[in-house]
Amino acid sequence: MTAQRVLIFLMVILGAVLISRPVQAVGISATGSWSETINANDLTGGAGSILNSTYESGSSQINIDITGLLALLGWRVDVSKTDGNWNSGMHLYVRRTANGSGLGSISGGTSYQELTGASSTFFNGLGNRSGIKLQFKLDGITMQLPPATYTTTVYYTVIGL
Amino acid sequence: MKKMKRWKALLFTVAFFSWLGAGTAMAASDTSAVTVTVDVIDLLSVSDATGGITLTGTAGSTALTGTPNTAALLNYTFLGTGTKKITAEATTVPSTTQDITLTVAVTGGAGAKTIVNGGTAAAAQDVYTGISTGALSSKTVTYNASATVSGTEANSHPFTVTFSSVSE
Repeated sequence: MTAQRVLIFLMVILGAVLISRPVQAVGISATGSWSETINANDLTGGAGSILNSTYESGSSQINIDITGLLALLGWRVDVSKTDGNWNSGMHLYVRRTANGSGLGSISGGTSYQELTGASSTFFNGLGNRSGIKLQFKLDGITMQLPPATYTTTVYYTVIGL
Repeated sequence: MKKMKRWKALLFTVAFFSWLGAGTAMAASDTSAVTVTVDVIDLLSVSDATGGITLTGTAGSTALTGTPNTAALLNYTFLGTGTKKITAEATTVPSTTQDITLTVAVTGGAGAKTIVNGGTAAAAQDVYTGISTGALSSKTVTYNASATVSGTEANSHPFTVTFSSVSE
């Protein structure tokens, strides 16, 4: 092949890459929230007893949809939290309780994992998926916890693989 | 013909690398809010002094005395700031003829306090003080009573004692 033809060939390839199909934008949608009120109804045995230490949300408290994929491409969801007014004695956990539906697959995240400020792998799958359900657990509640409203924000990040 | 073959090959190459060029965007995020509200808890429960106190006299004496009643139990849970105390007050005194003196004490508390003196209710008395966040479980409430033969008729004399938690 002459040098000129090689150059033309390389230019064609470069052009093909530059004008290739638009990148598929994987998306994630999280709906729902969890509010827990701890009061005298949560004492282990009425007056004279102390608070239960552990609380759980409903098993389908949060709904997650993975969207935007035109093919059965792989993705991973990482999870973390950012505290507002939080007490360091309280520990928040999350787990996946339902697979949802879609043409691909989903795996991981079915055991409770503690949420921290650092992002950690939660679950992964192939292709779009809707109706993935999550559940929260809170423990570390003691009689030493000052009465207040404590808040945190849970972040779900989907990463295309 | 050769030129046609070359163009076909070129078009195939363009198509192939276009397919290779398609990919998935890096990342996207969404969030959930979690809110935990911890309420102040101030829960007091005192059971009845079942069986009461039977006052009897002895020959040659005008005093009526009885065996203390220890049937009642006090249970209290407090979650909040500061400290609390528990008071006791005879809020119902019988209209029968009586000059009964009634005292009450809570195990671990502030000692025996007179809540009825010669048939007349006293002001609320502190029976347990300095209670910080935590629980008092199954504390025995001890009632003691006395009266005089001339001042108290042979009858049933019911009292109602009200316990209250109060901020110190």
